Amino acid sequence: MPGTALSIVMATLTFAAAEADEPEDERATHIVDTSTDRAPARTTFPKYPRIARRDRIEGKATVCFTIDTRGRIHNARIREASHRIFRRPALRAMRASTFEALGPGEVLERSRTCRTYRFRLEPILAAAGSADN
Amino acid sequence: MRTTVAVLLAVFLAPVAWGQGAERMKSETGPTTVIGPTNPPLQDGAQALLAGHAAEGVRLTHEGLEIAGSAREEEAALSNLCAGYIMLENFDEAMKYCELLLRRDPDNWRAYNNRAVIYIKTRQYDLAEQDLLRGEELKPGAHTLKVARAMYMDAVHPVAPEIIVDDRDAAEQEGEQR
Repeated sequence: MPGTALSIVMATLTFAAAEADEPEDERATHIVDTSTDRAPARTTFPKYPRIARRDRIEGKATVCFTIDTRGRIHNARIREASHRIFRRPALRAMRASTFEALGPGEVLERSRTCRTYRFRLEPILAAAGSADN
Repeated sequence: MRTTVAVLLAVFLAPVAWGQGAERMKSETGPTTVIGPTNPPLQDGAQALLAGHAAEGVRLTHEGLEIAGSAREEEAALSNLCAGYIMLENFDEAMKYCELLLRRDPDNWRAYNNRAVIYIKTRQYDLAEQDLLRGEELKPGAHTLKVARAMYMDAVHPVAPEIIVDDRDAAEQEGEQR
C-alpha cells in the first residue's frame, strides 16, 4: 500500500558474555534427619538456577511430600520459597529423589514430610585484580 | 567456573524492511511497492556476526559503513564493528569503534555495554563498572547488560554455588539458622 509506514527492524548488535555456563564448581551437602525412620535412598540435588547465580540471588525452598511404602515421592508441593526462581528446581529435585522402601510390616511414623533446599553462593577468591588499579 | 566467552547478539538489521531481501507488497487499491535492504552488506554483516562468523561479519560491516546512507546506518555499523572486534578479541579496534559511536551518541546504552565488556576482558574493572552503571541508567533491565554485569561480578566478586539439602524438621532447621 503506498504510503504505508513499513516497520523497520532495528536493534543494535550488542556484545555480552555468554550466560554463565553450567557451574562446574557447585558444592552439595545433604543433612539427613537421623531422628526419624525415613532413610533417603537416592537424593537428587537441584541445579543452582542460572539466572539466580547470575543475579546473585540466594534463598531456599521447602518441599513437602508423601513417601509411599516403596520409597517413592508423591504429592510434592512447595510449602514456601524465598524466591520463585527456586520453586521449580526444588520440586524437580524432590520428585527425582527416593527413600528406602519399607520392609514387610514396617510402618512409617508419618509419611508426609518436608525437605528444604538451600541455595547459597559462597564468595571465592578473585583470580586477579583490576589492571587500572 | 568456565571463563569462555561467547556472544549474545541482538542484531542491528539496519533500516531494512521485514524479511530477507527485497519484498513485494501489494495492495488492492494502489500500485506495487518494492522494498528491500538499503544497505545489504550491513545487514549481511550483522547476520554473519549473529552466526558467529566474526571475520566475515566485520568485513561486510566495513563495506556497509562505506556506503552507509544515513546516520542510523553509520551508527549501526559502528556498533556492530565494536561487537565484531570484541568477538575477534581485537580490543583496541573494538574500543575505537565503541568510542566513535559514543562520540556520536553519548546515550547509546549498547555502546556502554560493549565497552564495559572490553574493559572486563582487559581487566579494567573500575572502568567497566562505570560503563555498566551508565548503561543500566540508560536502559534499566536490559538483558545484555545483566549478562555483562554478571561477567563483571564473576571477575571481581566470584562465587561458588552451594546446594544444601536439609531433611531436618523445620523447627530444628530454624534453630540452627539462628
